[in-house]
Amino acid sequence: MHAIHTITAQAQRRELFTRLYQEAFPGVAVYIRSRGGGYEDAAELFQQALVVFYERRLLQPGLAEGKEAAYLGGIVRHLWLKEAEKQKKQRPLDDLAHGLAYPESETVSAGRIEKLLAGVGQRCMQLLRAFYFEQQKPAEIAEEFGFSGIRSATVQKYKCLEKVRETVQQKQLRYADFTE
Amino acid sequence: MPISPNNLHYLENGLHRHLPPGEQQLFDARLLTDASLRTDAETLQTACALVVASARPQLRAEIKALHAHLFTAHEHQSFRQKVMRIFGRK
Repeated sequence: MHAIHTITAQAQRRELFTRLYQEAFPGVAVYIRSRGGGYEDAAELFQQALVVFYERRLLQPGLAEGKEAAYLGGIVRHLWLKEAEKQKKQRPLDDLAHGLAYPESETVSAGRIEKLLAGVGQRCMQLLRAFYFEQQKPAEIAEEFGFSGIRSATVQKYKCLEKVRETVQQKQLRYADFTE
Repeated sequence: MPISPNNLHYLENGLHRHLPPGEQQLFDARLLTDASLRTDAETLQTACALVVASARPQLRAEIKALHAHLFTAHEHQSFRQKVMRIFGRK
């Protein structure tokens, strides 16, 4: 059952991203081209922007509803300018005409996140991802994880979330550490 | 200080503006005046951001795979050509 809900959520994301590619990527390509960048720059920045946008929307439901293409364009412009500024300090200006080189991630690495969450436990993380990343309904989660009902699943969610919150407090982590 | 499941539920609902109108107003006012509630709210939001960020490698992989599909699959040929024309490529 778990696999079915996850596949459905993944299919919905794919549908959303396909639509966003069709609506926003050509405009992003024009922008990047006008700044001297190439297809690879546009592809890399657009993928980064999709990650930023999707994560923000999970944390703030309804964000940029109906204005996704403009919002994505804004993120790409921000990322391009930030990267160009950084590389201008490191490389001669002429080199920028050949595109930018991108680090794997601007924010905390996947390895560090995994390490930070190691104490939370695998089952807790699966449960929290089901709620916050896959956006599954509490009834589905209760069934999948074998809880007696929605209430038990919700109480367990908050117990798990409290473990993450304790880590945040102990390590003095900030919201900006995980969001771009 | 640990927060009970009930209080986390209240805090999350308040931050997502899901409380009944009267309670929501009270929550908003407390958030402005109660430093301890504000700290709890900030750590809760950071915890949620951390959970979402933990799925980032999966999200990146899904987007990368979709990109490859959009730029190779026959059904998206016109989209690919439209983009490639912008870069003067075929």
